[in-house]
Amino acid sequence: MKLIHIAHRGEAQEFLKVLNLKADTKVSGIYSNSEFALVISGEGIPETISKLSYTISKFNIDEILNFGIAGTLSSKIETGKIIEIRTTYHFEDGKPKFKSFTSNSKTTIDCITTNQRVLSDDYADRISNFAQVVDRELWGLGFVAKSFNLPFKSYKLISDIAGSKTQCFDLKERAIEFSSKLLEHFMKLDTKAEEPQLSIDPPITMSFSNKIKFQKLIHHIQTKEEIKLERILSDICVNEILDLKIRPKEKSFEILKRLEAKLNPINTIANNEMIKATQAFREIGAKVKFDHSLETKKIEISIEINSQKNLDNIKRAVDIFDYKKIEKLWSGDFNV
Amino acid sequence: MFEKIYIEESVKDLEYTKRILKFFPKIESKVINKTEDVWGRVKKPYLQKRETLNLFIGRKEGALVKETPDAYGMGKEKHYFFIHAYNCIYECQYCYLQGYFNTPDIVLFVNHDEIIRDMQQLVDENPDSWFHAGEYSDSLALSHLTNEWDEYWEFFKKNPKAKLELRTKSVNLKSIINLEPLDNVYVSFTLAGHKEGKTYDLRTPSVKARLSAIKKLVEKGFKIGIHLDPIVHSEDLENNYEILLRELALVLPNKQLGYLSIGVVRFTKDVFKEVEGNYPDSPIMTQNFIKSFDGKVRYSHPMRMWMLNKVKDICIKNNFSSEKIYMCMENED
Repeated sequence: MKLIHIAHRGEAQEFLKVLNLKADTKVSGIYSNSEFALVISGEGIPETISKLSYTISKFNIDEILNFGIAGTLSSKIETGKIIEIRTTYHFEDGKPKFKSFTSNSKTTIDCITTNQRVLSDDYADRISNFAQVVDRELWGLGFVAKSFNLPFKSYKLISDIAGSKTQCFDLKERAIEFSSKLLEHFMKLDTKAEEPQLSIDPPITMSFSNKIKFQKLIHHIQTKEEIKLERILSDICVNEILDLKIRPKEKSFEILKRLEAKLNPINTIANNEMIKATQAFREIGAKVKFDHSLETKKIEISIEINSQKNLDNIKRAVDIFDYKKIEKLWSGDFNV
Repeated sequence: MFEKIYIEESVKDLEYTKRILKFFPKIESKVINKTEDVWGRVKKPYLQKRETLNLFIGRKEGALVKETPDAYGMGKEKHYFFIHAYNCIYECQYCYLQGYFNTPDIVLFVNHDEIIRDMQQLVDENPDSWFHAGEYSDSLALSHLTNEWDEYWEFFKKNPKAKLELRTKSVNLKSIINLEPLDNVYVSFTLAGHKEGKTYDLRTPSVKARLSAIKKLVEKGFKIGIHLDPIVHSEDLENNYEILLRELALVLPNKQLGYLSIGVVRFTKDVFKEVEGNYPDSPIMTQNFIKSFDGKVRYSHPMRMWMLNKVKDICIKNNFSSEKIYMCMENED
């Protein structure tokens, strides 16, 4: 469901009529139908944050769309136009706030949200260092979108030039004009949900988590080596695995193991060498632990001793064990 | 190229500033009190450099010349880097500038006289010091605008024991090609296999173009440094570096090579997070990195050693002498 955010009731009036939205019975300014929720927040960042947060927690929202008016700070942006915003910044008490929020729009126009109306040229000049248009809410929306990990877009109708030329127009007088223009723009947008990407099915039934692993490995190999799925499966001899007389779970494990080795051959070889180098301890029933990320060359060997035979075995294994092999591995001296 | 130019009040009348502005008569410019009043004050997403990159012309204050981290270059001399610019017009996917500044906007510092004054003080104490340019910005990419290198050349001519390194991926040689080659000045190029260069070094001159820039400088008698850093693993890594080093050996005789460094890709945690956000589909994101002993994101120890050794062997095989090769290793980072 998309959430439409509009600051003023006047700007929202045409949306309410055309989208056939029903009012929330508990909180004023919240409306919905089966496809959209609409919130009228009132002017300012705190108002925007509180109303949006409430609405998001109530509905299953996947994107926020902001519609509203803004003043221009740049001679390149004319009044009367509707523009899409890229990043929103915030200017408060004479200083810019560090945090910014970026929309999903591929445009080049940024908006700065201020906590006071821009009525002097000096103030307009200072904030124009950070953005080309100014409003009173968008940064609050960006803050909420980031908090809820939701994408957002913003469409601003340029109502006036910010600064001493700011028209202190009565919003009510022009509200119907603004609302109609914004609604017209909204109707042209493709607001349908994106089709989910087709996933790659593994060649054998796998558990959900293994299927995810399989898809991730395939995606990574394709990105790294720029080869097709058929080639990857052939490189790991998938048919050979499928013909093995082992359980399906073991086949899945083998497929994932070979894909991992294809993606990270050096680490796989290094790990195998490590296992080989410590094999003598495993053969006498010892547990051998080492850091599989191979960032340390520490090995932990543990074994219970309850007979002289155990001790003799340990002595024999220690004699066979050659730590130089670990040192060699550690310094990258092995064949790939 | 630039969306807007901001000029710091204190440098607006300098010749360097006027020269830069001459290149952009149609771009809107604005005088501001201090660069830091605007630059980096808000978090500007890195990739917006593709569409709306601003230029700041300012005065570098504070430390103009800084001591480098350990193992920056060869030898036991003192190593310093000096800051003539912040940020870069190129877009290398692994670049640490992504997470370093809060903005991709470029700053060109034009108080070169003050930088050189500080360098002189350091040379007076340690005459054989090294000075590196290109820590926070490519040293040559915009040098046709700034044209400061002749001033530095004079300094290094006067101080023949001190050494200068200009680090670059650029082929913009206009500002240096007609200067007298000096024994204590090295133009050092960062190279990668052709495929790796194309994949990771976005908006930079191709590796082929960098090789021909090296050739031009070699023919003029310049000393050259080479950085094979950062190396990113791929299935055909050895083959790609074989080709590169064979081609490099054809244009760069060992006698004109000053040094050759080899390093594998590594990131701080913050930079890696930025790279993940900026280039989610890059092959970098498919690499088998681990969180290393020092918190950095890098390959496992055996893997990075294997890569460093392989590339070093290829260098030696192509007649680059091993005494001139050094490896950028983690205990020296």
